[in-house]
Amino acid sequence: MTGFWPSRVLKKGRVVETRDEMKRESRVMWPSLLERTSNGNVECPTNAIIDEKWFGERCIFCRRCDGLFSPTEKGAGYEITSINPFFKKSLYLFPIDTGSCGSCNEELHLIFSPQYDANRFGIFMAATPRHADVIFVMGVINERMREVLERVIEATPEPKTLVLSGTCAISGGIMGEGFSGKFENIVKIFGCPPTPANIIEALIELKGGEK
Amino acid sequence: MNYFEFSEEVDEIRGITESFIVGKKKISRNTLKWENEVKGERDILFSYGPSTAGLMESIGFRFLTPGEKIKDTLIDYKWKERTLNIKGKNVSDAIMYIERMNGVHAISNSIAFIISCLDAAYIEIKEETKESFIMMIEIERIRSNLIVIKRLCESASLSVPMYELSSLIEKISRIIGKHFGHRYFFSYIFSGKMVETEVLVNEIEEVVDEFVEIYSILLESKIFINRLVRNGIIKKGILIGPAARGAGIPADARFDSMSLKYEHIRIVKENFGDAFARFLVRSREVMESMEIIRNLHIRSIQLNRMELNPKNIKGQGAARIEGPAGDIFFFTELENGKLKNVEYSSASYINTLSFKSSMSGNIFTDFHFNWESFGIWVSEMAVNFQ
Repeated sequence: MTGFWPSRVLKKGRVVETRDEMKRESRVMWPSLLERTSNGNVECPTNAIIDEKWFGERCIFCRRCDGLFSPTEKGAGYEITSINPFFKKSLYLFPIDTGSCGSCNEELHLIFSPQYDANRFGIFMAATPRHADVIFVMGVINERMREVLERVIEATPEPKTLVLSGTCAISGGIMGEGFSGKFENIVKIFGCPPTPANIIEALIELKGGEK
Repeated sequence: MNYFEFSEEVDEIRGITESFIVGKKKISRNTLKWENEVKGERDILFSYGPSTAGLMESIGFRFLTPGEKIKDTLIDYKWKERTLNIKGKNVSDAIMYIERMNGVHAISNSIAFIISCLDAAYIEIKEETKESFIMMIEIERIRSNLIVIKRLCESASLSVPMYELSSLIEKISRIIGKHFGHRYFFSYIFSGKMVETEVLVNEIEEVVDEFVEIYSILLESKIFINRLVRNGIIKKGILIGPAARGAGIPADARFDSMSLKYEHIRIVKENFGDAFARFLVRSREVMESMEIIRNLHIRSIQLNRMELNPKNIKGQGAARIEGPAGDIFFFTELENGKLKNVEYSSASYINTLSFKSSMSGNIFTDFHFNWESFGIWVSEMAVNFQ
C-alpha cells in the first residue's frame, strides 16, 4: 500500500542538504580541483597540463599526475561566459546525450535526488527544447548527433544557454571531439563526470543566485 | 586461451561480438542475421527518439504498428556511436577507454578486459585479487540494480520510491567515491590505493538494509505491480543476465564461467519472463550481492599494478564474467604487451535483441516499463575499436 510512504518518509527526517552540507558530504578526490605539489614531468593523455599549469576543461582525472598534482577535494570548477538573472526563479534544462558513457547522465539525474534537491533552487527538467532555457550537453559530439544538437539548439527559444557538462562535451577528452561551434552563452562544467554538487553550483551561478 | 576454444558451433549463446558468437566455453564465427518484419499495407512506422523525454540516452526506435499493437520494433542504437582508439596501446592505457565505454559499469568492463589480457599471457589471478574483483563488481551490481529499479519506478510514475531510490544511489556513489577515490571507480585499478573493507562493507550494508524496506513496500503497490506484470514477456531466444533468470533460465557467469568463478552463489530465478519478474530478480540480487560481499575473506583491496599489467605479453585471451546486466565478454590479442585486436560483447546488445522480441504484441503505453526493465545502457553497445 502506498500509504506506507508518508510515514516512512517522516520517520527518516530531513535528507535534503544545505549547499555547504552537500559540498562537504559529497566531496571526492577525483574529480576535484588539482594543485601542483611537487615538480616533475607529467605525461598527460589529454594535454590538461601544459607548462606547470592545469586546465580543468581538458582533464579526465586519470590520476597519471598523482604525486605531482594533488586533488584538493574541492569542486573541479566551471566557467560561465555570462550570468543571466532572467532565470533566477526557474531554469529549465533539456538534456541531450551526444555520445556520453552514461555516467554524466546519471550524475545529472542525481541533482534531483533528495540530498541535492535541485528543484528548490528553481532548476527543473524540460521534456522538449521548446520549453527549455538551457541545452545540457553530455558526451563527445559525433557526426550523427551533431545534427540532432543543431536542431535542438534551433528549437530552443531565446535567451538560451549551452551547458557543456564534462570533459567529453567540452574538449573531447580521450574519447573524441567536444563542442566546437560558436555560441554566445556557454557554461563549461569540469569533471569526468562532473559531480552533482559541481553541476548545481554552476547552474545556480548561471541563474544569478538560489531563487 | 585458458577458458575458451574456437569451434564450429557454440552450445548456448552468451555473447555476440562483431566477429564471434560466444558460448559458455566456445567461440565460433558470427553468422547470425537479424530480420525485421515487413511493413504491411495498413501499418505505419512510428518514430521515437533519438533525443527525447523519457529516454536517458540517445537511441532511435521505429515501431511498426497498424495503430495500437506493436508488430515489430526497429532499433537504431548507433546514434551516439563512439570510436575507441585502443589498438596499439598497453593494458593500463587502454583501461581509461574501457572504463568510459559505460561509466556505470566501468569496473565490471575493466575487470573482464584485464582478465582476458592476463589470459593471453596464461597468468593465473591470485586468490585475493579475485576476491577484490568480486567485491568491486558486486558493489557496482548493487548500484546498477538500484538504478534500474529507480528507472522502473520513474516510468511507473511512483515518485516517492523513485526519490528514495535516488537517495540510495547517491549514498552508494558517495561510498564508492570515498573509498576508491572516484564515484565510478575510474582509474582506481592502476592507482595502487589500498581500501579497508570492513568500513566499506558496513556502509554498503546500511544502504542495502534501507533498500529491503523499500522493496517490501513496492511489493504491496498494486499500481506498480499492474504496470509490470505480463508486460514484455520473453522466455525464448538468446537470453542472458537478469532477463534470462527472470524467465527461469539459470544463466549466470558467476556460476558457469571459469574466468571469474564464485565460490558460493545462489542463482535468483523467476519463471514468468515479464518486466515484473525482471524487477524481482534484480531486487533479490541486491540482497544476494550483499551476501556474497559479506562472505568474502579479504580485509583490504589493493591491486598490484605489475601483476595486472605484465610487459611483453603475446597471445590471445578471452574472458566472460557476469556484469550487472548479464554476460560481458572480451577477446583480446596482444603483441609485445600492446593490443592488436579487441572484440567485445556487451550485455546491453543481447538485452536489446531480447527487448525487441518482447515488444511484439505489446502497446506503446507499456514501452517504457518494458524498456527500463532490461537495464540497457546504449553507451556500451555503441562503441567500436580502432
